[in-house]
Amino acid sequence: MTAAAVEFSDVGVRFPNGTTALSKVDLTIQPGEFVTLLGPSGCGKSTLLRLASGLESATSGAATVSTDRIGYVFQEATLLPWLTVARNVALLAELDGLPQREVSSRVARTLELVGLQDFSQNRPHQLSGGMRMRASLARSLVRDPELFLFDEPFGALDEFTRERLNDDLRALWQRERFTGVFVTHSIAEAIYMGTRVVVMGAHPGRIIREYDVPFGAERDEHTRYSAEFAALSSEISDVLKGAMS
Amino acid sequence: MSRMTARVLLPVAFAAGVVAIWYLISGLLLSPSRRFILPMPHEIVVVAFLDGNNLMDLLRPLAVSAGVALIGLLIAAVIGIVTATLMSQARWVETTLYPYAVALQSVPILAIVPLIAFALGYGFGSRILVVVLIALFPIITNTLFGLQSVSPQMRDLFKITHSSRWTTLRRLEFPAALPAIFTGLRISAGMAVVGAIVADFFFRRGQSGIGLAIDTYRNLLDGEMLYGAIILASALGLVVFWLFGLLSKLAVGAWHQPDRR
Repeated sequence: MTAAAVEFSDVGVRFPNGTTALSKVDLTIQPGEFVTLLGPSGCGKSTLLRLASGLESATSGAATVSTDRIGYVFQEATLLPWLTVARNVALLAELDGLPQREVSSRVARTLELVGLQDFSQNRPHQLSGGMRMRASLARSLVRDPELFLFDEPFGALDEFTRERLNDDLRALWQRERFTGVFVTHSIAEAIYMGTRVVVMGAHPGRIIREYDVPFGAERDEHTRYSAEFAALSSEISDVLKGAMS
Repeated sequence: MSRMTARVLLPVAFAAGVVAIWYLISGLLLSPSRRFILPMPHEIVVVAFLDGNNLMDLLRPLAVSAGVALIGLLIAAVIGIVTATLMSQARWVETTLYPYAVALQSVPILAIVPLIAFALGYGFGSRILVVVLIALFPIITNTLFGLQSVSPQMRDLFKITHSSRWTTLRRLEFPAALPAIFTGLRISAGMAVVGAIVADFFFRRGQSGIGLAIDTYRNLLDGEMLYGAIILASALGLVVFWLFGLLSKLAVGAWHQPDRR
């Protein structure tokens, strides 16, 4: 068996101000999985991502991540406004020290993957919110990440754009075979996107339960309206409510 | 009346009103022997601006003052940007220096004129020092604000790639701070002109600047030239302010729209 992509055992994170962001977290993510982290605000979902990316370190327990090739997409696109879309997408590859030639070919390919090839010379402020998020995806995708972290990436978008981006991201994942960790507070999004849903609770941030999602690779809007989907949603909803009361 | 015409017409009408009142005071209230206090507008134009020799007498010192302002501004820009960058890189530098930067701004520049004279004499160097002292603070504060305004997530992005401090500064913080730096430069540019003219009054050695010209014409009770000098000095301030606005637009206008924030 190959090494896990992410392995947290008995991990705790305590901030200097005394709040316990995460407590006793055990989580193993295998390469190629797409795990969604679901929970209310303050449950440490984002801290878990920061831990996986190395931006935060565990104050207790052991957190191991098998790769340094990490993609990170935030809730906001956070593109550099002075760079064109193409230069924004090139940024991380350049910071990684790739030769200019390799950077250009990767940028071209990545822009095409997210459907922004016609907007490469635009500046971020000229794009719609959905397109900015695509550019933000592309910016991390260009590193060819083994581990791709998403911190509520589509939370600020309208429903329609969000569902489209969900489908596009799923297609991207199937094609590029990265390991995905996706934070959301939408139950439907967590189930639709994930191969596994990790439900978290707050005060302190912890994992409450995990669900393997019973749908295969092929998912579409019919999946969302199936009885199985509804049953799982309502079960997770009950667990979340139970944890909050 | 559309809004655009209103925006042009109303200020023009106001100026016309001011000139009309000016003529009334100058022509009706002042006796000819006291008219140097407020000469007729057209006489100012004729004497100060249309007479080639007189105009050169004004433009030469104006150029000197502009030069002093520009050199002082450049020095202040270099010192200010470097200082703010150091402050942004090390908290202790900020903690150590920031109170003095604030104190610098509250120093009444006129009060330390004798001190400057002791140190640098009454020549060019002192004039430039006045400009530097007066122009430094806005550059430091605005640059520091700009460098610190980078979003934490953008910083995270650079951390994930293990970028060095220098790379982060060069490719993230500095470009992000450019609009704020230009705001600081623009404010300081206006103050540099003020500083250069004030310094002219006190540090009179070397080529005379427009401030000294103003003082001289005041002593000579030469109203037309005095007003001409004042008008040109004001125009210098306006041009400098406009110039830095233009520079800022050229440098960051493609991506930074102040109204859009």
